[in-house]
Amino acid sequence: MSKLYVFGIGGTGARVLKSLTMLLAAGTDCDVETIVPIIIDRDISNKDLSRTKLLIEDYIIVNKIAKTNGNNKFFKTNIHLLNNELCLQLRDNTQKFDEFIGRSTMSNENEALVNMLFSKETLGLDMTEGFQGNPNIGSVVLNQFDGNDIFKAFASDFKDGDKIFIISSIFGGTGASGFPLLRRILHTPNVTGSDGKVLAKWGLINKAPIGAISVLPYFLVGSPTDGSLVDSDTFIDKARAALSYYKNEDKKIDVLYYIADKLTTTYEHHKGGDAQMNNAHFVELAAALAVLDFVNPEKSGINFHRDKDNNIERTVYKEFGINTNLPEFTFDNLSDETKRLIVNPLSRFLLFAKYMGFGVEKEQKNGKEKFVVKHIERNDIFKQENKYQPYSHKRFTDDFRKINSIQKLESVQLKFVEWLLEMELQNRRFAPFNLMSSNATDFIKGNMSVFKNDNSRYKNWSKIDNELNNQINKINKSMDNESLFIELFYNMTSEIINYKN
Amino acid sequence: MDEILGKIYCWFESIFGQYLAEYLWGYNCETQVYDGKNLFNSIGLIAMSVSFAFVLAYYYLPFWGFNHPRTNRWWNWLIILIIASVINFFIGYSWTINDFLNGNIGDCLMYIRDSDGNIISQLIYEKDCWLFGLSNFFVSVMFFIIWSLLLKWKSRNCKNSPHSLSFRKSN
Repeated sequence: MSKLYVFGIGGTGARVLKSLTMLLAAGTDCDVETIVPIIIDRDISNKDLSRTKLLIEDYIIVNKIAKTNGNNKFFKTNIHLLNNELCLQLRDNTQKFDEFIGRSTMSNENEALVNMLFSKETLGLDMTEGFQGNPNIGSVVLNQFDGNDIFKAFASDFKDGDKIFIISSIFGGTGASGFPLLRRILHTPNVTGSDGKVLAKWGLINKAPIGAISVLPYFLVGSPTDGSLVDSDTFIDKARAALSYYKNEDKKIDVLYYIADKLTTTYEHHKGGDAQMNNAHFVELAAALAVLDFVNPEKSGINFHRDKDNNIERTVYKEFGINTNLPEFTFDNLSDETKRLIVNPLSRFLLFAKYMGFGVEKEQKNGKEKFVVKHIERNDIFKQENKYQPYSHKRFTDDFRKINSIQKLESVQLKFVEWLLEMELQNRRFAPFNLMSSNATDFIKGNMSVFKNDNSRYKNWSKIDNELNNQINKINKSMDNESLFIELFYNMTSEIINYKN
Repeated sequence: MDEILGKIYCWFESIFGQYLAEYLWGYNCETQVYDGKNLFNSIGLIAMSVSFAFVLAYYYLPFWGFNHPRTNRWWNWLIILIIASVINFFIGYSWTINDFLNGNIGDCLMYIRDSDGNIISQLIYEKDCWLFGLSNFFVSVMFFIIWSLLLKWKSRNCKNSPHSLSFRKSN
């Protein structure tokens, strides 16, 4: 089975990778065995990136117990990090843009040219917090991919049949400039490593199937208070300018996906760093679906048009849409294809998370009501029942939850519920679940037949325990306990929830 | 073989008395041999059947809250055990009290009489019937435990109930 190398550029790249990881954790079908994520961001301290990094680290640990040789799809797709690094380390560590370009050592003529091309604010920009919506800086600073160690690892890891996908936003700095630069280096022949030698197998990379998604504006930022150069009034203009430049990418990319949303949420303004943490958004989930669409073998006839020399004959352009333009929407408003892809995995994984006690509660904070994602002791059915139910008897005791892989699994479940809640709190609210519900069989909104055997004599969580007790008798018990646990819960959830359209 | 149940009941003979036991063994005062019906077998088989039915229901019946993930606690099992045993208690009592009141128990087992036929003392009292019911309760408990041990292993939701009866590792 092949690998897919996914480059996530900038904050949007990191957030889409987070959504992709959530989909894979939930067991969404992905037709490659391994995903290799690589994040390119100058602002390595931004919270979006660190949240994605923590999630992927947890995922990798849980993935080890998810190889059950059974039916399990939770965490099934491997995520592999090149050189154990998620982020591509840029070679320089200069802070200011004028330091990066060496303005102080330039001749008077060159300095005058630089002063003409870049404003004073741009030259003095602190790049440790990214390019703050300046693709003109990004295109200069990021032009250092070749010779990078991670590219050496990328080249030596790459095999025939592997694919490449690039995720970037078009309306900021890092993504808009990084995408064409990265695409260009991937198609440059005979790229050399830091030792000056041509990277082996780079020819395979030059000819590899390549897809990309450009995320157009889908959020705004408030007025700057910290001297930031990010200005959401310029997002549309920047996107338009970048799109006209991206015309050059025609026939250089197999599939180019676009996505945007007019109903935007305005985030608090932060130029970067630890404070830059945007809530998850459905656009990011849809962008992650583009990655899965790209590797779907059933779509290969539509997605790839190559001549006999394996050159791209034409680029396929795709956009994502929902059936009805509503501020709040559920699974009902998605196309049949999207429903087929995500209804079962998201619902099943949420059922699993709810059984383990993860949910949403309203809390009063500073006189304001706030939704909080937490482990709710009284809703922890596993804790209440593991002493009594045959599926867990002498197998999944209280100590079982102290095992590292199970702790990581629960950590992902908490983040998963957070992710769902964040998507619900946007102005364009994707709210397919009633996250406050403590019931096992009424948490999916909409008019869909999702739960099987609704006439069962077992109600609520006893229905779940009954199915777990049933499934434990059918499972091959030769695997270790942690794998058995994940296989058991996958089998149970797929027996309880089975949406077909 | 047909004396097994009687021997089990005789573990409790000191509770309900030797003379009632003799009657239940089938002692005939006229022939002075045990040629009557062995009532231990009849009552014992009923006790076994009632226990079996309740155990089967608890572990396998697909309705009325039996074989249910929320009734697999040890106290749920204990409640069913008590219900089955109380039923057997009344079966034991009503069977013997019926025979006691209807004069089915032979005179030689009921009284000691002098040579004129006057009653010197009574050998079986009504309270002995209650005590036999109690003995039947204990026998029923025993049967319930044995049936539970034999039948629980294939139950979907209650196979580990009660945990104290799990003398082997369940799969």
